[in-house]
Amino acid sequence: MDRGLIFNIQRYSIHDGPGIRTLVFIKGCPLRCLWCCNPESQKSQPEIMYYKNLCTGCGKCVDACPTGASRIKNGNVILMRDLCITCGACVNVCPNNARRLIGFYVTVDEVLNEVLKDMKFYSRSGGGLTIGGGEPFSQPQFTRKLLREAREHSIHTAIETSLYASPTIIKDVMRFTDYLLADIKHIDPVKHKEFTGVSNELVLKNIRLIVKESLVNANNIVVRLPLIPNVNDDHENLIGIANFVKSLDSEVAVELLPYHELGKHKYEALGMEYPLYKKFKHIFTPSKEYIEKIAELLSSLGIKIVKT
Amino acid sequence: MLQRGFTGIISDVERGISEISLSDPYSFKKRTFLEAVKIIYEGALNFVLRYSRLAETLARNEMDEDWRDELLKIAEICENLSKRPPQTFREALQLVWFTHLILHVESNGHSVSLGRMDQYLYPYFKKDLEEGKMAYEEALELIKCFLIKMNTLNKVRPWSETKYKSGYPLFTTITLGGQTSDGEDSTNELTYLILEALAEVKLPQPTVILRVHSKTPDELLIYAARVLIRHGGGLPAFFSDEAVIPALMNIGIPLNEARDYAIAGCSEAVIPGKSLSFTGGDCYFNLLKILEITLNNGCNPRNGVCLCKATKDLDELRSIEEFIEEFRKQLSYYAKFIVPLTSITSAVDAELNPTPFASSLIDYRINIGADISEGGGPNSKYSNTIIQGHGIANVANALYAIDELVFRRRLITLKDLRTVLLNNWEGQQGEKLRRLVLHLPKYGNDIDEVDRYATIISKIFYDEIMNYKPFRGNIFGLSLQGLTANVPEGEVTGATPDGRLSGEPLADNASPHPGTDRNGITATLKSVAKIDHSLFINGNILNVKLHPSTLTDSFGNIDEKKISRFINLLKTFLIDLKGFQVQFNIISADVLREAQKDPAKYANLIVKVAGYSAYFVTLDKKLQGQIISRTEHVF
Repeated sequence: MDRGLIFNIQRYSIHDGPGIRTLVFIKGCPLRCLWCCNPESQKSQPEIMYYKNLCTGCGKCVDACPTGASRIKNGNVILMRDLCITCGACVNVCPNNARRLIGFYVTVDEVLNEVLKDMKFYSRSGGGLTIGGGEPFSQPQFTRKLLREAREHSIHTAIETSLYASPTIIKDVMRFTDYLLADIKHIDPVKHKEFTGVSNELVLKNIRLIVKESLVNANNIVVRLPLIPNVNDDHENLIGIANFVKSLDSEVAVELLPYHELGKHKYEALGMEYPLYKKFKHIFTPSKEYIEKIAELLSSLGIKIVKT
Repeated sequence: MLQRGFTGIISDVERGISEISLSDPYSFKKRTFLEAVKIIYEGALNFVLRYSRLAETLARNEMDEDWRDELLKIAEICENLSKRPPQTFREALQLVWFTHLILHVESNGHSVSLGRMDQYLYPYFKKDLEEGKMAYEEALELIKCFLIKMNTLNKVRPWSETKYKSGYPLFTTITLGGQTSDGEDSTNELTYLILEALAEVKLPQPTVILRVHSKTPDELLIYAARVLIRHGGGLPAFFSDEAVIPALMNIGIPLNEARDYAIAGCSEAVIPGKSLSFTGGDCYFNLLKILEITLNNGCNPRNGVCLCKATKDLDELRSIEEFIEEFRKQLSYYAKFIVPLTSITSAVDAELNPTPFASSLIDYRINIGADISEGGGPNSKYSNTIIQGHGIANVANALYAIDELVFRRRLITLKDLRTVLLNNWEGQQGEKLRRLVLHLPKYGNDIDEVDRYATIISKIFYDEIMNYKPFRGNIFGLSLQGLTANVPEGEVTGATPDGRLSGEPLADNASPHPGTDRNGITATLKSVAKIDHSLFINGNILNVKLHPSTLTDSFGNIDEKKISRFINLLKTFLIDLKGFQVQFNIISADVLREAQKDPAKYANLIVKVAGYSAYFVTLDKKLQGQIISRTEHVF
C-alpha cells in the first residue's frame, strides 16, 4: 500500500537508534498499554485533540463545526466526539491553537522526500530513518515500502515495535531493517494481557525468530523494558526477562525505559481516561538511584545494558 | 607587539622618523603620525612603570607573605615589560592585557578583538612548561584572571545607539582552534585551557568562538559542547572555516593567509594584524522596511515621504518576480546612500579620532606612516567597511506570503493587502487573513519554496552594495548580523505580509522569526545554510535556543550520547552545509516560566519529553511545572 496514516515526522531524533535520525510516527496500535505515553497513536483514524487549557471560549469552532460536535454547554466549549467527523474545520479557525488534528495520510514518496532532507546529518552521525508510533506493523505494507525505499537511498533503517504481528509479516519487513528496538512489556503472558490487552507469546516468538534467523544482526537489536514501579518491576519479571534475553544472544542489549507521566495530559485532550490510575495506586516516577539499582541487577545477570 | 614589546616598537618608530625624506610630499603627515605613536608608547611605558611602583609600594606594607610575594612578582613583570619584550607566558598575557586596555583608553572600543590567543601565546606557554617555570594550573589561573579582567571594561553609549546594542557589550572576541596556514589542525593545549577557563568563570564577556573545519578533532568539539553547557550563556559560538575561508578568498586574500583568520566583534572575519573591518560609521539596512516601502509605491507610510517613486503601479505587477524587481529598484536607490553616509563618518573619524596606538599594531602602518583611519596602504585588500542587512527571515516570509496569496491563490490584490497592513490587520477580514498568513510555510523549516527568497534577496543585497566603493578604500563588506537592531527597527516598520504586527521586532540576524521554526533543529540549520555565506565577509549569525535536555539526561547530567549527536549536528552544518556560524542558548527555568505566562511568544520552544518531543505550550501547567523544576537541576 502506498498510503499510510502517520501523525508526525520528527527530525533530529536522538533516542530511537544510532546517530541523528528522522522518526516517522505511524498511527494505529493493536496494544493498549496502561502506561502509554503516546495515546494519540493508538486509534487507526485521525482524531481531534482539544486542549481545554488553551481555550478562551470564543466559540469560533462552534460556528465552524458542520455537525455540531463542537458546541457550548454550560458556558464552556465542549467536543462531542461521537458527532465529530474529524474534518479539521475547528483546527483552522481556533485563534489559540487549542484544537489539533492528529493523523494525516501520506504516500511513501512524500515521507521519503522529508526523510531525505537530513541525509547529510545521517551520513556524519551514522543515523537514518526510524519508524515508530503507534505500531509500525499495524500498517505493514506502508512500513515495508518505506523501509525498502529508504534502503535504496542508502539510508540506515530502524524500527521501534511491540512485535505483535504475524511472523510472516515480520520476516518480510525485517529484510529491510538494519536496527531493531523491541519492547518486552512483561514476561508473564497473563500479566502481559492485563497490562497491554494482548498476550506476549507472539512477541517472544518473533524476537526468537529474528535472532535465530539473523534477520537483524544481534548487536543491532535492543530490547526495551518499560519500567513501571509497582506494576512490572518485580524481581520475578526482571529475572524472567533477563533469562529470556540471555537465551537469545549475548550481543542483544537491553534498554530501560523508566515510567514518566509526561504523556498523561494528552489523555484528557483526547477525551480519554488515564488507564493506569484506574487499575493502580502508588504509581511514581522512578528516581535515578532506583533505575541504577535495576540496571545493576540486570548487569549482574550478564545482560548488556544500554546506557541512556 | 609580543615580539617587539613596547620598547621594540619605539625603536621601529624612531627609525621610521629618521628615514623620512624631506622630498616626500607626505613627510609632515608621516612625521606627525610617527611622533604621535612615539608619545603614546612612552606614555605606555610610564603607565606600566606606575603599576610596577604601585605594586612595590603595596608590597612594602603587606603583612600577608603570599600576597606580598605576588605583588613583588607583579612589580617585576611590569618593570620587565617597560624594558623589553615579554619572555614568559605570564609576561606575554600581561602585555596583551595592557595593550587591550590602552586600545580602549584610546578609542573607547568596541570590537577590539584578541585574535587567535591560543596560537600566539602558545610558544610562551610551551617554553615555560618545558623549562619547568609554570604548571598547567597556574596557566589556567592566569587565563581566568584575564577573562575576569575583560569584564572590568565598559562603555557608555548614547541611548540611540544603546537600543541597537542592548546588554553593555564590548564585542571583544577570542578566536580558538582552526587551521595553520598549511591547512593542518592548529588545536593545542591552550585551546583547551582557554575553554576550561571560560567554563569556570561563566561571564558574558569576552566572546569566545571556536573555529571548526574538517580536521577539527572530535575530542575538542566534545569538550567545547561541555563548556557550552557549563558556561550556560551561549559560549563558545561556532564558526566554519569551510564558509569563512572561501569568503575571504572571494575578496582576494590568498589561501594561506585566509587560513589564519580570526573573528572580530560579532562575526567579522579578519586577518589578525592586517585587517580592519571598520565597525564605526557603517550602515544598517532594514530590508523589511524596504519591502514595506515597495508595497507602498516607494513611500514610507509612517511619514508619507516618497523618495523613490515606483515606476510601476501595484496593479501592474503580475508575478512575484516583478515585485522583487520593484524591491530591487528601491534597494538600489537607498544603496547609493551608503557612500556619502560612510564617507562622512569615515572622513570625520579620520580627522577627529585618529588612533595611532591601534594603527601601530597593524603591521604595515608604521612603515607607511599613516593612521588606519585614513585607509589605503599597500595591504588595503584586508580592510572593508561594514554594511548590515536586517530582517532577512521576515522578507523571505513576506515574499512567500505575497506570492501565495496574491499571485497564486489570487485571494487578494497587492493594493488590498497594502490596505490591510496599513490598518494593522484590524477587522474580521484582516484577522482572518493574518491567521492564514501565520499558517503559511516560513523560513527556518527547510522548505525550499520559502527559503529560496532568503537566498535571492541576500544575493540582490550583495549585488547592489558591491556597486560602490567606500572612502576608506577596498570594499564594503556585508553581513546579515543585526545586534539588537531588530527591536528599534521593528518599531518603525508597520505591519508586514509575513504576519508581523506594526512595531513588532524583526527576526534577529539570519535566524528564523521567533516561534516559526517548527521542524526541528536540522531544518533550521538547513534553511540558514541555503544563503550563500561566501558573499558575507562580515558574517551571518544564527541564534538557536536549545533546551538543556538536548544535551543532558532527565536528571540533568551531561549525556554523552546526546553530546556525540550534537557535535555531528554541528559538523554537518558547519562543514558539510557550510553554514557560517551558529550559537546556542540553553534555556533557563526563568524563561520557561515566562513561557507559561505568554505561550504565544514561545510557541516554538520544544522540550524533549523522554521518548518524544513536544511544544512546551501544549503541556498542562503541572507538567510545565515539573519540567521547569527539572531544568533547575542542570545548572
